[in-house]
Amino acid sequence: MTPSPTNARHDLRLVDVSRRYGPVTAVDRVSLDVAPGEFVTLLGPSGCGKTTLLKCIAGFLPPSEGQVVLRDEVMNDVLPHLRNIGIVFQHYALFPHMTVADNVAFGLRMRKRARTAIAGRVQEMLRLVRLPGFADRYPHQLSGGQQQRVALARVLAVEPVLLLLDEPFGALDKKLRVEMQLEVKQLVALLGMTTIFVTHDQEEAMRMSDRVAIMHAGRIVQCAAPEVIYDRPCDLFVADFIGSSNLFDGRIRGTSAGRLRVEVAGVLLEVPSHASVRPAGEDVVVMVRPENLALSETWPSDRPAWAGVVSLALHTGPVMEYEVVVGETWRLRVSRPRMQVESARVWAKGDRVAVTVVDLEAVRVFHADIAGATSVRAL
Amino acid sequence: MAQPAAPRDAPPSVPAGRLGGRVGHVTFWVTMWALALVGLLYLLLPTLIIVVASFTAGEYITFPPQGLSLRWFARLMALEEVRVSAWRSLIVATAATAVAVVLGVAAAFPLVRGRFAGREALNAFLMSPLILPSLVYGLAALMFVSAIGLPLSVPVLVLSHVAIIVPYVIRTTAASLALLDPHLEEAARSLGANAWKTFLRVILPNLLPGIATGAAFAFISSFDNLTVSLFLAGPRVETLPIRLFAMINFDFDPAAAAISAVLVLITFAVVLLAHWAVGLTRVIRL
Repeated sequence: MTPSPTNARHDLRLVDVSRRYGPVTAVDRVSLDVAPGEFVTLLGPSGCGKTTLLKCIAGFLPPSEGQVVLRDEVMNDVLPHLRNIGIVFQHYALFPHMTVADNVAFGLRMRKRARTAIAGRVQEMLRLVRLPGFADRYPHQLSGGQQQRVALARVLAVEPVLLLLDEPFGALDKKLRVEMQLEVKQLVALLGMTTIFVTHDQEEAMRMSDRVAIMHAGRIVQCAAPEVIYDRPCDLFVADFIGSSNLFDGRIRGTSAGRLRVEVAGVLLEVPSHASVRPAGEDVVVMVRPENLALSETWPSDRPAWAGVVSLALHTGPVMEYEVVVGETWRLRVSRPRMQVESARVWAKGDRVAVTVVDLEAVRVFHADIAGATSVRAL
Repeated sequence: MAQPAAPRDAPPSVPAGRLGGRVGHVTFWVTMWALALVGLLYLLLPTLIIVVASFTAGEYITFPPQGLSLRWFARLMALEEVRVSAWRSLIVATAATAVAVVLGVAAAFPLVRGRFAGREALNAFLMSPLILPSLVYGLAALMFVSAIGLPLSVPVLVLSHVAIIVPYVIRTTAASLALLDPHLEEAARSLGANAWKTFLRVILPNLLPGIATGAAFAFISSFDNLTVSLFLAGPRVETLPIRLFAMINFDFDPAAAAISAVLVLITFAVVLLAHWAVGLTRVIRL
């Protein structure tokens, strides 16, 4: 699909959209702009409001407040079948009494296209999703992955303004899921389709999206490119929700030239100060990703280090995961790739090690007094 | 369950445990089959006896029949009131079923998909004709009809039957609808189908097995209904069950057995038709 001829700046705009069920606010003043061709993921734990928001966009639920704008047109009062939004559901929702071809043709028939045009378009779509020759099968004769492709073909056949994917890979086994993720990503990119993707699987979200919107308790907490979400989470909830992280209680010992000196488990780290300058003595939470910690036998001369003992060593295939006990109560999670140019050593339980931070620039510091702090593990 | 004794302090040996499991398995299936067969015989035997008796060559209903002939069926055909009442019963049952299907399918929708206060109460109310004694309903309907001054006629009879058979259609349609993925509707809507097209092209075809099953039950219930018809049929609108009832009362001869055989035959035919229409498994799954 070519970029919109109207030259709309956004294919989808959500303006302060809220949705309440009685006293419960499922979606709470969400605003989001999606550019043409962009792939945006709504990611959050179950109950965060992402599915409700999707239903508001699709038109199955009217928002209690705010506006859903599709290509500069307010959609709040437009019925779902007049919105030209395509949806792929987790369980595909193929029409069981229709053949694959009839499923794909459904949207075109509803638009009263000419019979020959429909037949041609159906063939084209089935080729696109690599299912030519499946036209006369029924959905129950197809595998999960094939049904998923038919669902995609059915939606893409009508050239929707916006594609909504509602946990579409949830019912597939892991290997197939990764294949379908790549396939859908490529297909959507090929067609330049503006896509909203709903999932609770963060790997899937990171892998597929241009931007990820992290939802928590009905609100979008952070919306940014996957690497930004991962490297620079805006608060403790995001830091804890995305990837795994070591969250330490720390204390600020001083600031200098945009850098913070933070004491963590008796070691002073000099990290970038990325938010408002904090006063010395303030309690903070320090986030260090497991892959940002390295283990060595010898004490490093050029950087601070913790002395610890390996208490757990787990093989996960490409990566070794360790738990290192430092002092009485500190437990550090460390993950190291097994293949490395240097120090490819695999550690075992009981080994005495020095733990260092690989890249101090990637260490994040958060206020300890915000709501998300309840998710901080006691260290 | 009889299990080979094992010393309390020692775990039972593996073969002993297996034998115990096998015994339990066998006794379970033998019990279930035996009960099923008893139930089946209990249901079938009386019907079988009346059907066999209808082929008697004698003057009276006896079992076993005295000789075999079709003479009572021939006599049935010769009785004009039997032919007329049978035809009327077919028309009433067909019309009542048609109306019940339309009303029942429509009612199933809010009952399953709707979100409103009192849904359960409404559900119970719509099922009440199945629970209420039909004698009571028949009397109530008669009082109602005479109160509003309607003369007893075939349409009145049809409508009274609709009330007692519509729960079957609601029940089976609602069951089908509850099993149907609600996302099918959303998928159809998002693909551009309005509410009517979504219903006709996507929902209805998937409900057909349930509707056909309900319609079969509804038809049979109307076709052999006696209690309600007794109140509402009136002297000139006799149905087949009423005729049968009268024949048993006044001249209890093998023609009554022959009518019974015909009723059984039609019932079976309707059930087979339903099987054929929706496939054996769908009917059983109900």
